[in-house]
Amino acid sequence: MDINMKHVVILTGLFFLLLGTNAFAQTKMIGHKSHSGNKANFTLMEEGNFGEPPMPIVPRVITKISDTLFVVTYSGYRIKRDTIVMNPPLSPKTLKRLIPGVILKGFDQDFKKTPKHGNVVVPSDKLEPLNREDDLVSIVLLLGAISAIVGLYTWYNHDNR
Amino acid sequence: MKYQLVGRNFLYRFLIIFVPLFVILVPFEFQVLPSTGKLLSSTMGNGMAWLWGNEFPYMGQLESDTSGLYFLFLTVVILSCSTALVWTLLSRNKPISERLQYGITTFCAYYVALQFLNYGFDKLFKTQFYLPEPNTLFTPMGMLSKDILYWSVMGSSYSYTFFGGIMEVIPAVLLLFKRTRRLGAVLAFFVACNILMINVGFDISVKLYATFLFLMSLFVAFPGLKACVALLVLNKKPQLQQFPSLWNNKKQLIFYRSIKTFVVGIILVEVLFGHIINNNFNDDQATRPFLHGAYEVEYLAKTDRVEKIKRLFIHRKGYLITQGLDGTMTDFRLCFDWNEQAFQLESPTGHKDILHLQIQENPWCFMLKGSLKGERVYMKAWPIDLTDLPLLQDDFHFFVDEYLVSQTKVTR
Repeated sequence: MDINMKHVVILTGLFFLLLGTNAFAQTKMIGHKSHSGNKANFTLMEEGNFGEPPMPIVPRVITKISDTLFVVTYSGYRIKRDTIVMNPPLSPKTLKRLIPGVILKGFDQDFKKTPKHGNVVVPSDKLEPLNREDDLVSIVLLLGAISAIVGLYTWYNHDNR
Repeated sequence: MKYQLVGRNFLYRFLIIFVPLFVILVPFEFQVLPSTGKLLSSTMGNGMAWLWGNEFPYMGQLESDTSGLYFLFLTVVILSCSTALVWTLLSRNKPISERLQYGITTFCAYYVALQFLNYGFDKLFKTQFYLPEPNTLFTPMGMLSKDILYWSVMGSSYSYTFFGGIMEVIPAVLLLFKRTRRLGAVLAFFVACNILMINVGFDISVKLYATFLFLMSLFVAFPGLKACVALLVLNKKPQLQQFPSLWNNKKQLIFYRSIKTFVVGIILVEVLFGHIINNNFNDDQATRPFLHGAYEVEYLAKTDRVEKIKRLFIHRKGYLITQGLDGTMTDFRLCFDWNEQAFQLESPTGHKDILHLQIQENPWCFMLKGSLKGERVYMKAWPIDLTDLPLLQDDFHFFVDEYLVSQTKVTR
């Protein structure tokens, strides 16, 4: 599917939504000054704290709720999700190309354009429960691998003698 | 000598209470480890406001360097001092056990290692000192305050940020192993001292926590520093106390090593998890939002009443920033309206505007039509190539001669 101008505009918004949560380590004051340029209007609502790594939040799953309504699930350690309206919507192929590694749920491969309509309230029962199994497996595997390396090092070097 | 021993025992007792308590209560957000401080921050903040009054605006909020956090620190110090005093009096000069001394030293060493690895990897992967945002690049240096200037200068050099990361990771790794702990602690002490002075010198609002890490590294490094002074200054053979043996049989040894392996493993997972899951190992190369950048503004319709804008910037965190003819910057919180295909802007004062977006492909630019600060505007935004800016040039010159060559090229 070719990307037309409307899709470019949609993608603009999608990227704001998806990348707005990218890593950005800073103090609250530096975070505020990075966009405001000065300390006026500073509040503690600003992102950042100790200049430490922030919580990773990355887009993982896009679930189709209706023809124009989608739920983007971000995953990392803390999971959050957003409801977005894409009107007209992008095809699964385009979404996959633009957000590599994203899992698409409820999409029909023969994606058809649908007429415009306004925002729709999402019935809560339509939202799928969050799946954290993938993350847990990753954590366990990572933990196991690292622990094994450190354990072997400690064992062979007898560092505590 | 007796007073020295009593003082030493009191210090250890104070640290045994103070360090774990403050570590639990400080609102540091971890990724895998439980962020107990964050969970308790609301309750503790209210407690601080109740205990010390509401004289300061942020007394009830525990964040880095708020009055609430300083008073929490003071409260924990007072609480730990009084408890340690009672403990010392009740113990009737009985010295504190070697295992307890070793335990608190190890705890401090591991905590410093955890935080050094955390900040160290963040520097290695360039997520702490990120590339300056487009609006910062177009702000005159004199208009920047010291903290954002320091952040931006560091963010402009990948190699120095990487070096800074290495300088934190090396002592942290050395701290994790008994054999290298003293060396790691001495290195960590100097690094922590530098961090503290940067935060003080550039007015970066992580002064209290940096002081806490500095004092912890001083405590762990003290025997090593004494040995350095003995060897290098007094020309004496340094006498270092042996670490106590923590096991008596093979079963205990296996238990000890398993615990250590688990703790070191969880520290590494904590510091690497975010980078792995985000697949971000060089933030300079990370994808930016579609319209992220700086733009020259061309007005398409007469606007007599609106303050003229010469540039606008799209910030990575969802802000649209305008720069007036006099250089004044104004930031607006930016949201995208999916149905209207328009920017919804909110000024810091809460004023809301809508700008409709039209994208032109060839030559690439975009048009904004709608209201800004309540006035009608219709303007075209032409992208500025940020890679042309001198600060973002990846230049390195071994010889000054190279400058001459490039100057000659320019002249020709």
